[in-house]
Amino acid sequence: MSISSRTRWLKYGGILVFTMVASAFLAEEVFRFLGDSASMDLKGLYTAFGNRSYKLSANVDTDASWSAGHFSVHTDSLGLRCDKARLFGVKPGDSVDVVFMGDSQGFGNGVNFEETIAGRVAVEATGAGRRVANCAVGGHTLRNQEELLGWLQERSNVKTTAAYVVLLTPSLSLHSANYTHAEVGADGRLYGKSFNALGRLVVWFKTHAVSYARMRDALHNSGLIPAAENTPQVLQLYRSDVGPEQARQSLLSVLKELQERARAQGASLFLAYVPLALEADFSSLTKVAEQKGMALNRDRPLNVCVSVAKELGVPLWNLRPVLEELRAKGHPLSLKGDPHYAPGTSAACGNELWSELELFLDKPHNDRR
Amino acid sequence: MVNLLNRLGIRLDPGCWVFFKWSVMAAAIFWALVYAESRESENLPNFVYVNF
Repeated sequence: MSISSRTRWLKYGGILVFTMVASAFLAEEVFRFLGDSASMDLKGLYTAFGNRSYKLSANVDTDASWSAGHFSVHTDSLGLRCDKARLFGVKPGDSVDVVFMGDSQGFGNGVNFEETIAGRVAVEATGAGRRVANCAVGGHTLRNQEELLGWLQERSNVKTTAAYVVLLTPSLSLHSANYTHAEVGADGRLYGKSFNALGRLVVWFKTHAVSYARMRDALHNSGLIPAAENTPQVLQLYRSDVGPEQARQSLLSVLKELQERARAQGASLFLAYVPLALEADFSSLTKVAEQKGMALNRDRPLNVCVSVAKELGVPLWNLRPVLEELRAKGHPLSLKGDPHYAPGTSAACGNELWSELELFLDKPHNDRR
Repeated sequence: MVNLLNRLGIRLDPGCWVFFKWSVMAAAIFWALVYAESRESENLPNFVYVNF
């Protein structure tokens, strides 16, 4: 290639880069004019806690705009998720009737407090003169949750008088042996170990440029993100060739500790199986697994929960029929491009749990065991 | 624009101007596609997206 030819192509490259950068600034202004706003991406939500773990920070008001949509998160003075007005907040020294534990589904990823399972129960319970707290934190295992509950009881003197409800997702059912560790950045967000300068740049764009969310949603909606990159974690949960014993023992061990903790406060332990929305229509996942030469068992996580509940002698409420009923009616079960429950699914599950809890709470204290 | 570039000492031949016009059109089409695809859609792609 001659020097003049190379110079010409360099000029063309420069023109293309200049045009795209200039158009990005213009597109940014147009999207903002259309009403888009940059996501806080849950800024300030997390604080370091316990065994290289994390919890929600106290008195936080933040939000996020994910591909699933926009939602806000508010926490009380103890760092438990509550409503914006903090009517459902808990203070040190308070007594609550019911405490919920769980992971991201219990926390309510992608939806507002009133649209979460625990939030729905809290709203219904308040009408009946009961108080509900939600300890669930996204990414927590039951080990993390047990640690957080201990802190609430022993350091913040929060007493739970009636029921501990563990919202067992497939992930939580099968991965309870260890703690989840994560770095909490100075900005109060969670970062994995491999977080580097590029990752920080992505977060900066995510929280400052509205065109980032537009491009992400366009990629998701057009299906340009290949399935193979996103499904392995889900497939692992249902592998039929992995025995249940190890997961069963781990779950049993941590739930025994929670049961002891509940008994010490005069409360009872309840388990609720909270399936992935996919379980209501498992055929799509089975097809993906077949392409990879894997065999799946839809009931693997549920069977572990059933077995553990039987051994502990505690009730297990299976929420899968609720999802199947919603699916039969044609309701969307999960959020757009996200496995977490849609508001309608959470509300239906919350109503189902409240109907069970209400029966229990209405019993005289001595008849509850 | 041309005067400004000349003052800055940047000389663009006619071929570059044609390429610039094509680039502007390509950028406009790109952002129009981003806008169209990013709007709320009931038709979800057939893939599983996990955001644990």
